[in-house]
Amino acid sequence: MDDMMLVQSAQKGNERAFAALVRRNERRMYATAYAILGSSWDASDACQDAFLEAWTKIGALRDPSSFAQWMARIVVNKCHSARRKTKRLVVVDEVPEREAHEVIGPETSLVLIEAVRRLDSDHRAVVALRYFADLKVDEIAEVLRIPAGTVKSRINRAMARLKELLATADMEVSSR
Amino acid sequence: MNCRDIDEVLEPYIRGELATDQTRAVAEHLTGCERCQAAYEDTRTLVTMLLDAGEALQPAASMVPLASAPPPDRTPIRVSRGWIAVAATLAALTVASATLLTVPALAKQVPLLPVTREIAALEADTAELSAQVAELEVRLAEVDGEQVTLVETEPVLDAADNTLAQEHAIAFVRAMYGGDEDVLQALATPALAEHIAEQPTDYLREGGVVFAQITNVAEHEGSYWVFIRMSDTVEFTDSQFQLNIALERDGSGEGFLVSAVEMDA
Repeated sequence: MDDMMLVQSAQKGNERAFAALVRRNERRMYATAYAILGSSWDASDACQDAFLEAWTKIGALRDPSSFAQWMARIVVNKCHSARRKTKRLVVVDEVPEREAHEVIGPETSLVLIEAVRRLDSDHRAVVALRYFADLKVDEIAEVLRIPAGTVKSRINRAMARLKELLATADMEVSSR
Repeated sequence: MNCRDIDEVLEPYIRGELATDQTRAVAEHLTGCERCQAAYEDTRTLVTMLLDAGEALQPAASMVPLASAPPPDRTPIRVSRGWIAVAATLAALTVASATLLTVPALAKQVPLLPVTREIAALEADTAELSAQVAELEVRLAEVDGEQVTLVETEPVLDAADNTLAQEHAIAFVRAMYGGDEDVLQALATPALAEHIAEQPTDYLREGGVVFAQITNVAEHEGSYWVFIRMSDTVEFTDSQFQLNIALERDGSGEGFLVSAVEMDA
């Protein structure tokens, strides 16, 4: 069953279909939120909120084939809300804690995610949506409400910066 | 195409998103340019690794919302939302009930059984959660002639002042969307009125708006806050947003004035 059929089934109230949709998309949405927010716990909260909102509103998604883009928009909105809340918080003490995820990919993925987190916020968002949420340029432009040309130039600049960061991380980009 | 052009389009070329003629032009250039071939290989490797990285982290907490929650085979390691606690409790209650069915009428007759104590504790938890749900029950109410959904929270003002503050906030929102700058200034504190006069486009909105929900008045650092869920249209749910309206007592101490407006997701 592909995502589109799952969406249509979820729109008819099928909870299992929605649960399957979540499990199919949760890793990419989580990585997107993690890259944007920089905190695994905030990313986890943002994604939980986003999927809860998606479940309550999926009936109104007009184009089932655009689920990934629609979901990414909700996640980005939740990330913005989380960032605003975080700004109001005063940190009195930092307690080291475990991350809100398990690493199931290769070491190179971790190095890359760390490199993405070191980009500035505009570039982080486009790279996260382009590669972690796997959206097209036009879709990213809609989600971020910026021109497609801006998305393209940010992607190119971000890719160049990532190559620099990976080079300084003593990691050969051309050898896997 | 020259090398600089190639740099601009390598990424969409690798993702297969260029038009046919552009794809052909890039491919032709690459066959004859070692510098761009090297850039292509680097970028292609980076693209593949980035796409892989998107699947590399498995969230520890289940992302499946309450209504679709599976049996708790992946215990969240941090309960950060109320609905996770509700889901876990209900799931545990279901398991306990199933156990009871296999031991008919046993548990409540034998109060020392561990399962009996567990059931009693779970029943108490469930009753408490039910009480919390009842407190948060959504009700419809009429505010300023409009049917709106009210989510009852702990009020910080008495009922009359609470309604007055809500009506003031809604009148302000009406003026925002009705394009009525004079009314906006009249409803605002002098400082905000001055800012409205300087930057009217920050406050005046075009088009219609739907009120979805309004909260009771909250208090924070000396200001009163009303949070109003909004939508620019009833057709697209993702057009929803929230206006946070900050209010202060006016000079008479009987009414309110808007001191700030924030837009929230």
